[in-house]
Amino acid sequence: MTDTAFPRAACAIAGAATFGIGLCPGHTALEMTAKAGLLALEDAGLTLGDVDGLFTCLPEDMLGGLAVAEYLGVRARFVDNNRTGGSSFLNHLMTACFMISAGYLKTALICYGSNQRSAAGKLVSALRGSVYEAPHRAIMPIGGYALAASRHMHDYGTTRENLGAVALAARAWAQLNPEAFRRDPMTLDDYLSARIVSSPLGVADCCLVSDGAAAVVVTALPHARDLAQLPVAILGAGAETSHKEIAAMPDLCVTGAKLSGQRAYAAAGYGPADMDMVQLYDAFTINTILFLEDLGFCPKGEGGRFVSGGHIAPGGGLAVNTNGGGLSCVHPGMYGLFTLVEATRQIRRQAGERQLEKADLALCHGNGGVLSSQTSVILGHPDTI
Amino acid sequence: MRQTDGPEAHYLQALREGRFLFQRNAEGNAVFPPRLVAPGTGEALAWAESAGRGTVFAVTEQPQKPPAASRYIALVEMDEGFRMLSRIEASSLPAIGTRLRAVIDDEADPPHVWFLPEDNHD
Repeated sequence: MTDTAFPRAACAIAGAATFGIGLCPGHTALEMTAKAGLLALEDAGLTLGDVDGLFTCLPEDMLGGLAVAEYLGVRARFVDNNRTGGSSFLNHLMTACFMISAGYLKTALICYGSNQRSAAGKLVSALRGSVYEAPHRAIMPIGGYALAASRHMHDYGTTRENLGAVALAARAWAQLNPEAFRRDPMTLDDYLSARIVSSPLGVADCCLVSDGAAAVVVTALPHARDLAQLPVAILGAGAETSHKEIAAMPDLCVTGAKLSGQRAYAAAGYGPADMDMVQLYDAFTINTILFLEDLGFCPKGEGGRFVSGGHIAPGGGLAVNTNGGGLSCVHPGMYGLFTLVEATRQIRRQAGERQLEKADLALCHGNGGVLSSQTSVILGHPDTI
Repeated sequence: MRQTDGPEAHYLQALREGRFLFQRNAEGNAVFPPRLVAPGTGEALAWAESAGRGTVFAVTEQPQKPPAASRYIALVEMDEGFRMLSRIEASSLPAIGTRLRAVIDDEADPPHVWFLPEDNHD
């Protein structure tokens, strides 16, 4: 098996959209998913009749892939309902690229939506505890991330202030994004005084509970060149799964992102120093620190210091989560797809006030479970091919 | 013909009888939670009984609505070499490295193992 087997730049994101970010009352998750899909097709200059592959998973419907296919009337040659948590959609993208480059599919629609804030007011999760863990009634998934954070603090001296720097950076980016759900100012004092949910993590360390939907359209790069938007080339991708429950994580301070990132870099022919931005799944503040280490932006254990002093905030040394991330922009339960949409908007120079000056290469990273499933995707401007 | 119990049912039945079991592979490495075969290799596993002593590897405090006391959730590194998620009954957050002893709740459904700090003799 080789990491360079990924079909580098064979495919592109031709369309991208979000819908109902924040509050979307009166809509079902299925309706939101369908609407985002339709908007992404319109963005690409395509129609439903062009879609022959459908990739999705809905928050509560085990057969959601079939539901979306029926709802949109897509006679799919392939439906992928793979659900690995928030990394699902980056995994969908990998599968779609292999299938399109092999000639089985022409155009894939990857879409997702959730109305969890309007409908439930809390994280809607299909996770069930095992017979070994459920009796302890731990609050999960935050408890798993808190355990990893406790170990990172113990081993490397990471502090609550370091975690706070992640939250503050996300909020500062969100203030530049009119679509973001939380744009009110946040100070370090606000962060430090937020209620603790699972120490060392408090409510200000947690991603939002919001509504939201997103979709991307993937097709062969030569086809994408004939469509409405600048094609965003899919240069590399890689994945790794290391465990499901946090108790089985081999090393609490090293995630599978180390391997997924290495695979994506090898496929793309680029490394961390080449990236103009990182769009990663910040379910909790510790995620950003762990992933920046594992994806090669700083040495292991240095993540807390790396994010401090505004280094990942607007105007800092590395642009991370330019939409405001799951912490301040949108988090309908599984965030991964939004990393692809934000990178696409940046690479197309459509990001408005938060537009980066140099925005040719993006690392997108999805996380599922409790640091369990990791998938990395490298997107690039056509000039980077 | 009826199959004998799977590993999970065997583990739970042992807990009901007051015994805390785990498994070992041929090299003696501990495996938990119980499985049909050793993960990654498929080799046979043998049951063993834990002495119930371990160390806090990672820990989090989850405050509850007053007047309920905080819940302490930990990853416990057992002396036999396996790691498990459990609950520590303590009056304050036990530090990483704190020695623990297991308590078997054999009456609960499902039966399970929780921990006390070793210097606590309640």
